[in-house]
Amino acid sequence: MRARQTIVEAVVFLVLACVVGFAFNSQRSDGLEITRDYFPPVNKVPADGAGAAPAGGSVRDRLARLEGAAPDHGFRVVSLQDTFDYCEQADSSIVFIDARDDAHFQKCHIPNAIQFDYYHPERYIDQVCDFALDAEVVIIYCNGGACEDSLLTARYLTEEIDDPLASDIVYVFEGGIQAWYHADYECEPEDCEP
Amino acid sequence: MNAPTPEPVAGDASAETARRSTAWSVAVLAARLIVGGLLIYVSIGKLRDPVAFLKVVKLYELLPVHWNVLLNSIAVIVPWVELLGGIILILGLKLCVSASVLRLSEHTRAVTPGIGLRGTALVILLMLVGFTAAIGLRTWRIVQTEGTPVMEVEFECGCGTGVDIIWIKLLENGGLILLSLLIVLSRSYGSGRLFLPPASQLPQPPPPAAKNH
Repeated sequence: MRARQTIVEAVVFLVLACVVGFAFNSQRSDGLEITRDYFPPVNKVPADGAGAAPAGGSVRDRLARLEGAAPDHGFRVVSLQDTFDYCEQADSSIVFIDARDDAHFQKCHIPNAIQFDYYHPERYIDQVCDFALDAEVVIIYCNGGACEDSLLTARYLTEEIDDPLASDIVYVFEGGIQAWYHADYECEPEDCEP
Repeated sequence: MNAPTPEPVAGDASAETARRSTAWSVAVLAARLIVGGLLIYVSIGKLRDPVAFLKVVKLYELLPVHWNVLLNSIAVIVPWVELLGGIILILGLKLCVSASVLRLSEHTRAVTPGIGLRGTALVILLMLVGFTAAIGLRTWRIVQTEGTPVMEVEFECGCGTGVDIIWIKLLENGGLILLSLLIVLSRSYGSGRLFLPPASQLPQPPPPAAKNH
């Protein structure tokens, strides 16, 4: 009888926690979308000619000549040095997208990067589309290391939005803000630390 | 001639029982405070940043790829199990629903539906066992794939304490499991209270039996 009572109490507690949890999540602005697949597999087939060297000296041409293109996820990767070079150019045809949340972005980011929190895309999609749709190159980064948010963002922007970006203009800076910061490159705000 | 064996005084055994019961109550109370306090502490960080906790849960790779509803639900529910569970453990709350209100059958009325300390502790216990097993499995995978020595494996386990050295974390979880088990199995009346009952409510020794001459 005592065991049965304990089990009943356990079930009631669990139901209560579920009800409170879902109710609270539905009311908060940064809650999770229960039915959304936040981690779809990123197995994109690379665009034809990935890593090839087309003629011409445009930004895309130079990036297209990079070695080591077409890793497992299929998006082109860009090195720390090249990321720095293109950031220095301050070319409006190159757009940097920071795929991290508000707190991390505001704390420290690559100069002139625009934010896109992959987990709350509705807040940022308009701004990203304004800048990125006319860009020749879109470089996406996140924290670096084991962080997959830059890949997930690249996939999202090239597949899920109404006006997707062309996959051959999207590049992933795998080193992320950590590699950028530890290379002593300038960050915004000044003297910040990721 | 042998000296008569002194008759045992009935009060001695009862006093001993009362002492053991009090000691047991103190132990259970301490277990409730430790487990409950820790649960509340770790739940706060998860409630503040549900996305971060979701990412940590995903790293365990325990669910098939497209079971996103279950994955997201775990990230939403677990912090509340911890927070509510911690509060119930510390305060010793008990909330019962009258069987007559629920129009239950005679058979079902023998069990009173509601929230109670032992049931909550049972959920916490099962959750801790599950978490510990998941941490152990992920550690084993790391050892197998990366060749890292077991004693050097460290990662963010989702416990709200950042990156942990895992063998220490497993020991800590083992201790919490034992404390939770203590609460679940406790028979002490003190296990339902936040404070010890007054002395007048301790078991009183029965009156000594009258001697026949």
